[in-house]
Parts: sequence; structure tokens; C-alpha cells
Amino acid sequence: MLKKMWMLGLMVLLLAGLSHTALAQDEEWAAGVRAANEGTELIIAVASHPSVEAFKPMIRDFEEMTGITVRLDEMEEGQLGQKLTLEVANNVTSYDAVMAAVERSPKLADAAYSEPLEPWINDSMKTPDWFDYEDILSAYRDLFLWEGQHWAIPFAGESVFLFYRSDLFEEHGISVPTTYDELLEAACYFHNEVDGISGVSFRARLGWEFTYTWSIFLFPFGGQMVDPMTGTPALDVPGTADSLNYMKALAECAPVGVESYSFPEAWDAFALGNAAIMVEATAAAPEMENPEKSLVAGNIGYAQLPTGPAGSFTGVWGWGIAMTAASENKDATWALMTYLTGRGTQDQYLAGGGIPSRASSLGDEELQMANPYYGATLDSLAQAGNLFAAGHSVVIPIPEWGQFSEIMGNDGARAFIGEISVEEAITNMQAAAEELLGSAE
Amino acid sequence: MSSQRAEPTKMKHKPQPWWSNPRARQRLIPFALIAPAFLVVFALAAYSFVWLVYLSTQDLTFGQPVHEGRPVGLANYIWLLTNSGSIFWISVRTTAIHVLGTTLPELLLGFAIALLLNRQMRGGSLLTAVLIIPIVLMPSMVGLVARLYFTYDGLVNFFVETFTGSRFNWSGPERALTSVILVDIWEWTPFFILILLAGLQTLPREPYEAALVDGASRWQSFRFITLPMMFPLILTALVLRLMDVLRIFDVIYVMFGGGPGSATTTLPLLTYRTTLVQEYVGRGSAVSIMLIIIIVTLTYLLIQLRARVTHQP
Repeated sequence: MLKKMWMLGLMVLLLAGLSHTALAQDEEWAAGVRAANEGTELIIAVASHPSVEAFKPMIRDFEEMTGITVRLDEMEEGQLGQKLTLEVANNVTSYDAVMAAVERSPKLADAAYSEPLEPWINDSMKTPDWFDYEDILSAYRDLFLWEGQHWAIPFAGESVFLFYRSDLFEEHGISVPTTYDELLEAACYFHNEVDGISGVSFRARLGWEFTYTWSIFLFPFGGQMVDPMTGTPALDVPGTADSLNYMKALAECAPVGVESYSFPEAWDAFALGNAAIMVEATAAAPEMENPEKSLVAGNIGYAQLPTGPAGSFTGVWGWGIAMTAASENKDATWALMTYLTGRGTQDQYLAGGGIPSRASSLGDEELQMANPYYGATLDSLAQAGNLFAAGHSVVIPIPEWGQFSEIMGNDGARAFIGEISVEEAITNMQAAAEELLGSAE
Repeated sequence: MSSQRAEPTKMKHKPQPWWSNPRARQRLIPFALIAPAFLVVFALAAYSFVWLVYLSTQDLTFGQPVHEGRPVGLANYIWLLTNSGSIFWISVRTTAIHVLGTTLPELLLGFAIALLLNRQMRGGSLLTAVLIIPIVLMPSMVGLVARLYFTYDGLVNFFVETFTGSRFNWSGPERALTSVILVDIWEWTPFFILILLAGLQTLPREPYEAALVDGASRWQSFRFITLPMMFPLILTALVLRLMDVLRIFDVIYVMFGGGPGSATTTLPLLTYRTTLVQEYVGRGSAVSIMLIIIIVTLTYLLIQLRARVTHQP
């Protein structure tokens, strides 16, 4: 007993010593930043996002510590995209840093709008030890890889997995689907047999949101966007049609109106207890587990996506902070970026509702106990690794990705509701994609 | 002596500069006053239009500098009109249904309510003030609220189920356009009410009194006095509403974004998606030009009709 108490005391002292060292390092770093940048004002463009809400109190602390003022220009996600497109088109910038979605990052890099970050990451004078870049999961880090360099620091990575009502599954003796046939069977069972419950919820709104969901079903059925060897459009393979037909079958057991579902409607259907299963972003999990926002909190199970005829795949997406090449306050901007995304400040970030993207957070046993979806998130990242290994990606890292995504999202959505046939949609898409990127011949 | 006489006659016929004539100057004043505003508006509109025509003949991506565009002549128009991947004709049909589905019911409903309000009823002025509310609401907010009301479990289905016992998929491909039309009717019928009520209140009483003496019924008074006298105003209101409804974007965008499929992709939505989302500036400009042609043609026809009606003996 005494020995145990002695060990406990030692651990407390050790932890106190470590935190004191970290605190001293923190203060030393802040003093250095203050000496060089006090009085600087930074303007950052951000989209409305749970992680940005987590950033806000951190920014207030940062301002106090460093004497740097930070002004957030916050807007809706679509508006931010258009604002950045306009800035790129006019070759001007109003910002020191911008919140960049993975879909947009190559375009910003290609136009030299954003700054390659290797010189900053590798500079030990400017990057504190507690930032720990390597701790950010490589699947997320490499989302922002373009022509051999990283162009943004990821802070909110997401993948797609299965949310299911564990209480309903248990009550009806249904096991968690491991294949897509089982997923369809389970969804239709709940849809047809349980009053007031739809089978499966997902987003399928015209445009990029349709592409988002479709890209999850595409690869397990053997479909593809581009040929991994040549990079030329290759949508016209049988698996592409199979995946679209599967989505159409799944829609029969989805809530009425799923064809107009954006992510809020898809999330609401599950959170209000109207759907037994949801195929959605891992980023939805904190909201689903929040009893103030979800009627099914505490009754949710999480699992990686099922296996299809061509394998077991999911994708990764994410947000990062990119420094603008034209910023006149690059040192101050980098200091802010390291502070907001560093390992040393992750506890505050996660406590504020930020979406995790670090191995240390997702792998932490205590955090896993408190957040039941952390384990499944790690599993789905491993599943996303299968897709990279096969040479594919749910977001093709090309500046034209926005257009490519729209091509898939428009004709795909039309075929999904039966406005045109699946074959016609794929023919249209292939032709449009070849016009955009060039063909194999 | 004779030469002394001839001189004044000669002076009398000497041509005067036009600006020395006070009557000519008087006539010119209104033109001079509106000239600056006219020149600015004309220059802006003409410049924009010419620039749009130029862009519609280019192969240009959004974000690409204009000088890097490749001239393609009428290829963008041909692509829109003939390519199997184009949804231009679907969009024209959707726009036509949207325009007819909104303006005609709004006109009929607006006229009927205006006639009721014109009958000196108690609380009529308060009701008129209340009716203005939908018009002054921000369209994007109207779209957001309507998006919630028209979900399967939304308020609209609550009432529909109460009266019919069944619910409809208002956001599905069969009814999404109907949802948009219903929201437009709710929002813009007051526009017709206000204009037509103002017109009704200025009609002279004498023709009605004469008709009453001649034994005309209420329907005959309406058919042969009210309607002909109101017709020019009805056409004016229609022209204004038509120009507006052909360019409606925000409510449709917020409610359905043009979908599901292409169910609510009207021409303004197609312009937006083609130019800013698919980033084909040339094709998007071509859609804009065709939308402008449609608006100008319809407006011209209605104005001609109005002129013909107004000048009838």
C-alpha cells in the first residue's frame, strides 16, 4: 500500500515537473513571438465550423500571450470558396491565412496563392517542440500534399463511417453490416419492419454533396474516377454504374426526400431518431453524442464501412490552415498556426469541440472512453489507407477538382432520381471529364 | 431710302442660333437634366452587355485571366443548344413552368384580394399593411424557412395531412418545383395586391353610376368597366413581375440548389452553376445572353400589347 502511494506521489511530481517544463517552454516561446511581432494584426478567412468555434477562445489566449491581434473573417463554407476563387482570379489577397478545404488546396497552391510550409515546419527556431507535426495523422497531413510539398496544416480531418442505432440493432437481433449487401438488407429491414423508422440516412443533394457520398460507394464496387496509372478520366468502367445502382437501391430504404438532403438534413434524420443507420462524416459524431442536440445520444454504435465486391475502402477529407504567399506577417501567422494546431494546445482545442486529427488524441485511451467514436475513426483511417494503396483518392489532387466533382455530382444526381439512365449519366460524365482533363488517347 | 428700308428686312431673315430660341431651350431642359443619369446607366448597361457577349464567345475558365481566353465563336451557344450533356432546354422548360406557375396565380389571387380590400371593409388598411410583410422579408431567409417547412415532417405536410390524411414528398423531383412556386406565390402575391388596389382606388365613379342607372349587374360592371380600365395597369404589373421572376435565384438556391436532379434548375440557376460552380465562363455567359434575350422579348411583347390596349378608341 505504501509502495503504491509512493509511486503515485512520484507520478504526480513527475507530471507536475513535465507540465512546468512545458509551461516554461510555452512562456519562452510566447515571449519570443511577442518580442518579434507585438502590435501585428492578422486577418484570417474562416468558414463556420465546430473547430473554428474551438479556436475562438484559443485565439483570445494567443492575443494575450503574444500581443498579436487576430481578426477572423468568418463566412459560410460556399462563400469562402467563392471568395478564394475570386482572390486567386484577381491575384490579390486580403488575408494572412485562410481556412482551406482539401478540395481547394491544389488550386490555391497551383496559383501560388498559398505558401509551401516545409521551410516553416523544418525551422526549429520558428516551430516549437510542442507543435509536433509528425503527430498529425499522415492521412490528414498528406491531404495537403501538392507537388511534393505541404500547403496547409490540417486541423479537422474527417472520414466516413457507419453510425447505427445500437439499441435498435440489439432489439431486433441484427448484426452490424460487414458487406454492402448486408447494409442494404439491414437498412430495408428497419425501413419496412419498424414503424416511424427509415433505413439509412445520407446526403445526396445535387452537386458536390452527391459526389461526396457517391465517392464512398464508388470504389468498393470497382468504380473509379481516373485511371491511377495515367490520371485520365476513367468513369466508364462497370463498377461506376454498379455503385450508382447500389445507391439507387439504398435510396428505396432512405427517408423520404433524401434526394434533396444536404448534410444537416441527413444528420437531423439520424439525431431525431428517424433513421436506423447513417453513412456520414466522422465529424458528425460529436453532435450525435451531444444530448442537447441528439435524441439518440448514448445509443449509437460506430463501425467502419462495409466491404464491397472490389474491396474495403473509405475516403478522407479535411480542413487545414494555409498561409498566404502575399502575407507580410508570415512569422506571426506561423506562430498562430502552430498555436491553434499544435499538440501542446490540443486539450483546449478538443474541450472546445474541435475535430481531432492527431494520433495522440485519437489513440488516447481516456479520450477513447469518453468519445466512443474515436476507435472507429482510427479504423476508418486504416480503411482509407486501402484506397491510397490502390492508387485512388476521393478527392483527386488537381486544380480542376471542383469542376470534376460538379460533373459527377450533376449527372450522378440526375441518374439517382431517374431523370436519366445510369448509362447515359456515365457517358455524359466521361465526355465532360475528358473535355476537362483530356482523354487517354 | 430704299436701301435703308431693305436692311431691317435682311436682318429679320438672318438665321438665329438654336440656343437663342427660348422655346427650344425650354424643350431641351428635361433632356439635359436626365442626360447624366441616362449616360451613366446606358454606359454601364451597354458596357456590361457588350462584355458579356464577348465572354460568351470565349473558351474561358473561372479564375483564368481574360486575355488567356480562346475565341470559339458560337461554339458555346451550339454546345448549350445541341449537346447531350447540356440541360439548357430542360432549364428553359423549368423556367417557363416557374414563370407561368407564379405570375398567373399571383395576378388572379392579387386582383381578387385587391377587389375585396377595395370594398371599404373594416380593418382593410391594417390588412394591407400586414400583406406587405412577405415582400420585405429577405429572400434567402424565406428560402431557409421554406426549406424546413417543406420537409416530409414539416409544417406544410402537417396541414396537408390534417386535411387529406396523407403526406407528400415536397422536396422530391415531382414536387420540388411546385414547392418553389408556392413559396413565390406566398411572397409575391402582395405585390399585385398593392399595385392593383392603388389602381382600383383611382378609378372614376361616374361610369359605375351610369352603368347602375342602365341596370348593369355587378359582373357586367366588372367585366365592361373595371377590367378594361385596369388592363393597362395589370399589364404594367405583369411586366415588372415577369422581369423579376425570370431572374429569381436566392429562394430556389437556398431551398433546393437547382435539384433534385435538374428539377428546379431555372435559367438563373443554370447560369450560376455553369459559371461559378462548373467554372465555364463562356458557356455561363451564353446562358445569360439567352436569358436576356428571353426577358427583353417578353417585355417588349407585353409593352406592345399595353400600348395597343391603351390607344384603343
